[in-house]
Amino acid sequence: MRQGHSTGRTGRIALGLAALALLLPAVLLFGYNTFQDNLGTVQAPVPVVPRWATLPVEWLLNASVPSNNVSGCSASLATCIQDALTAGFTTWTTARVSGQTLTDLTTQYAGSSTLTSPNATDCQNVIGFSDTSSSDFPTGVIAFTQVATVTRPPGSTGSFTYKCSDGTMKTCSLDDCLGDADIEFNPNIDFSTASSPPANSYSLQSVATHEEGHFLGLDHSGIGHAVMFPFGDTTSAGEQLALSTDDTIGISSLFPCTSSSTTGNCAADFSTATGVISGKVNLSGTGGIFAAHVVAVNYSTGSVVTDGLTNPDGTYTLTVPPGNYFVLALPLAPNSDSGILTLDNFSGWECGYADSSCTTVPQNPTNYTGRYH
Amino acid sequence: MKFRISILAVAMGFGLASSASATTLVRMSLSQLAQASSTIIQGQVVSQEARWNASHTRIMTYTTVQIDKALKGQPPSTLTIEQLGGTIGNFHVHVPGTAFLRPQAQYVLFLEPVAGKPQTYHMVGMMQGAFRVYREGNSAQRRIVLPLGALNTGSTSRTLSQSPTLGEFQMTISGALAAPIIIPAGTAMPVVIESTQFRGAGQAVVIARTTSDLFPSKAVVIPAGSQVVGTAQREGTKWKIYWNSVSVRGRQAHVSGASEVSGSLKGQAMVVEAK
Repeated sequence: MRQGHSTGRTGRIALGLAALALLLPAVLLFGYNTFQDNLGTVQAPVPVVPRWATLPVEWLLNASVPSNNVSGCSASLATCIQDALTAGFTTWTTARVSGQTLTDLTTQYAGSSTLTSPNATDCQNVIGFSDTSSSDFPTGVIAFTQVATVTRPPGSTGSFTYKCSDGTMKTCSLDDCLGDADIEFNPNIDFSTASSPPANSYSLQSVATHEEGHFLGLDHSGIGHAVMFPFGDTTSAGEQLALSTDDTIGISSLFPCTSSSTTGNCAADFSTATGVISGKVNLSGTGGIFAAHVVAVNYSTGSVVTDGLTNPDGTYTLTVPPGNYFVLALPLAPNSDSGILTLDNFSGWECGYADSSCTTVPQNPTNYTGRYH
Repeated sequence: MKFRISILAVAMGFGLASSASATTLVRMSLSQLAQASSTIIQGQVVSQEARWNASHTRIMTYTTVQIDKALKGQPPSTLTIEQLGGTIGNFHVHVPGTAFLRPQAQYVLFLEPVAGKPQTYHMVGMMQGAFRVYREGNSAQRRIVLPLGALNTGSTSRTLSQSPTLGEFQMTISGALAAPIIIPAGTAMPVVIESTQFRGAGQAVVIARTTSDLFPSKAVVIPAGSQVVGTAQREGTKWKIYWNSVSVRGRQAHVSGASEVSGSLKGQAMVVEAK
């Protein structure tokens, strides 16, 4: 077993790792999920995380709704749609961790567009309702975001350039840049801009906030109360407009306030207002565990704070607000098809799968695999 | 220590069970996945390729699967799955919610056809339609990964809460496919009349298609484009349509409802409310 370690920045990050070590022959954890480029390749054993290189991130709107599937607007439909989308973006740019804004993210509405289906190469970030290609919306898909990223060419250093479809050259000053993002809402699903959506309609702002999280660089979260959890419903309880800590940590880590930040409403530096837990998930005879679902749980309240998946080499880094945490490894996805390690595989774990003597244990907790099937 | 485990368990249980969240996807039950699928297979990934589309605006990933067993439909020995996104060189296109199918891995896949592309499918509910098969280290038994911890079967609230064996999972799918599709009373189905077949003076068979994806209960899904059939009778200047059935991926479900329209039947849009 290789034990994780913590790197305190501000506040005391007292881990429950020691306690957990008694339970698990491996110790793990992680954070929200970002997109992870070059995943598992020799060049990038630890995935490269793409970000927007310049702020504000601009977005365009095609407010045409050919399927008439947006209701609840008492004014101009285009205005209602733009307002809902803007409110979603504002939710992200004003994200607060422990009451403080720690992200310098800014976004800006940049005008209208006539694009009717996603285009990954035009460097135009368009949100729309006009994608009528049935193959874009398998049954059960409410909306989707297509995000294009460009990774630094192997062997290069410094900034690099890439070309948009109209010939415009863009510069990426990072290892991996978000270059284009488009959001399409399913024309066969009903949306509402009303504050209380009617039955069988989805809150446009709620769905938009989730999709805008993807647009800004976040993948899905395994935490049920996070905006970036992948599922929703049409009930009022299914409408979620506020971010969870997992969401706010996620967006703040992508666009952190620093001493040199010139945008946003930074209240403090992200790196000094938060702490980091890092380490490696490693099992004897198996090596690093890829895509283990790791969860940081508040030691005092028992609430889930952040989650994420381990890198291909089993390593992880989890940013958390100051506090005391337990860290829990849930799914242990395999590196090969030889078997999936479950909690039952860990000596000392008293309640593995759903067990009548352990009714409070989450049922089959090892199976959040997200995109890594 | 057990006390601590319980705290964690409660927290995670809430997290995984809650549906009070925003979204990309409707969380589908096994019954809904089975109904929405034209084809359900157990098979192995044999190859994978990412390609630009013809207009060079998108990257699509095509995965070829060799079929070991067809659980619904009559697919050929291999088929292709089309997914949005992929990587070509240092350019990546991500579409969150897309299942990352691992080369050589085995899956049970819930599939629906891609319009205009024979033998090409996409996964119902994106990542929800892919269930990885793995061989348990201890027993060597083949089991199924449930992607989000548990799976509502859609039948009397039964939930698959452990990783079922492949055999158990196949039996559960068979049960879902054998169960009748019951459209709940009050289900409102927006439709457009696609065609009519006149059967004598003042009478016609009416064929309509739904225009929205409908999830009227955890046991039922009616994908957009499902065929709804009824009979129409002329009453004065109007047509009275008595709706009889809905076809969900080839499976018939009884529906009872009536609509009244004026003018030509073809192209009329209306909402059919099931009684």
